[in-house]
Amino acid sequence: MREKSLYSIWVVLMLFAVVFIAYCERPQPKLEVESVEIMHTNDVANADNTSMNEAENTQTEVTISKEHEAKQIPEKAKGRDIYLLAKIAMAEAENQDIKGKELVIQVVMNRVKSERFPDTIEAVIYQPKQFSPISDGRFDRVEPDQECYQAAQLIMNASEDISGGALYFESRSQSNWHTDYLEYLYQHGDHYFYTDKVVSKE
Amino acid sequence: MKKWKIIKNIVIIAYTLTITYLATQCAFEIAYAERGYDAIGGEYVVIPVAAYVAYRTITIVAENIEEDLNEKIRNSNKKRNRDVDR
Repeated sequence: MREKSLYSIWVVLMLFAVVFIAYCERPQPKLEVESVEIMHTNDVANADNTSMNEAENTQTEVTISKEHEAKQIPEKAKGRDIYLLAKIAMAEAENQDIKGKELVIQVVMNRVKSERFPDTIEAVIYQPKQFSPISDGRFDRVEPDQECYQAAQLIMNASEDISGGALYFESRSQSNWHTDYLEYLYQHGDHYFYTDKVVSKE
Repeated sequence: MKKWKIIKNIVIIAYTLTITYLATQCAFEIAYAERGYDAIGGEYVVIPVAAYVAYRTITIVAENIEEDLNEKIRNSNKKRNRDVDR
């Protein structure tokens, strides 16, 4: 009887130990998300200037600078970030192909890297008056599908900027703001992509 | 014996709650890390399962210890009775 007691105590302690170790070793995505660091450095600007002097046309300049910036992609952003990226892709480009969704996500990532926009994915997405689904409530209503998650994963793992440095996009609208103040890049699906004029002239 | 019962119940409740909390938290965060969004349904199954397993194991231990204690008391009573008879 005494042996039986000892054996059962041992089992209980083992169960506790296993659960406790699993708890200690569990992934902590929320902390990682909060501590994602994006390197905005003066080196980027310096390197951009050097490369741009060597280039002959503006388009090349933009591409080179964007390729350089692509190296500054955060090493690991998981969990909530991927969810938010997939969600904004769903809200903005639900009716488009996976490429359209990837471009939307790439624009968010480019903004995170840009010094002119907030430094985290969440802050970029929720920046006031930037993404229409945020202000009209569509963002809260949609749930991303598998394609959106695929696009988010692809962009997060990509080492290059697939958008050619796009920082803005719009659907066809009455406003001329984008065409007046930004450099038009290309159209994909319903979206027209732009980048900063200032960046390309530096 | 009353004191033992109180201690037993406190230990059973504390152990069950601790194991359930740790296991559930673990399951939620693994699911969150893998999928990118908070637990919606399936992970909540961990709560009753973990609670049941923890409760059963700690209860078995408590019962075994209780039996040991009772046997000890019985043995000591027998010994005392034998001594008194002599």
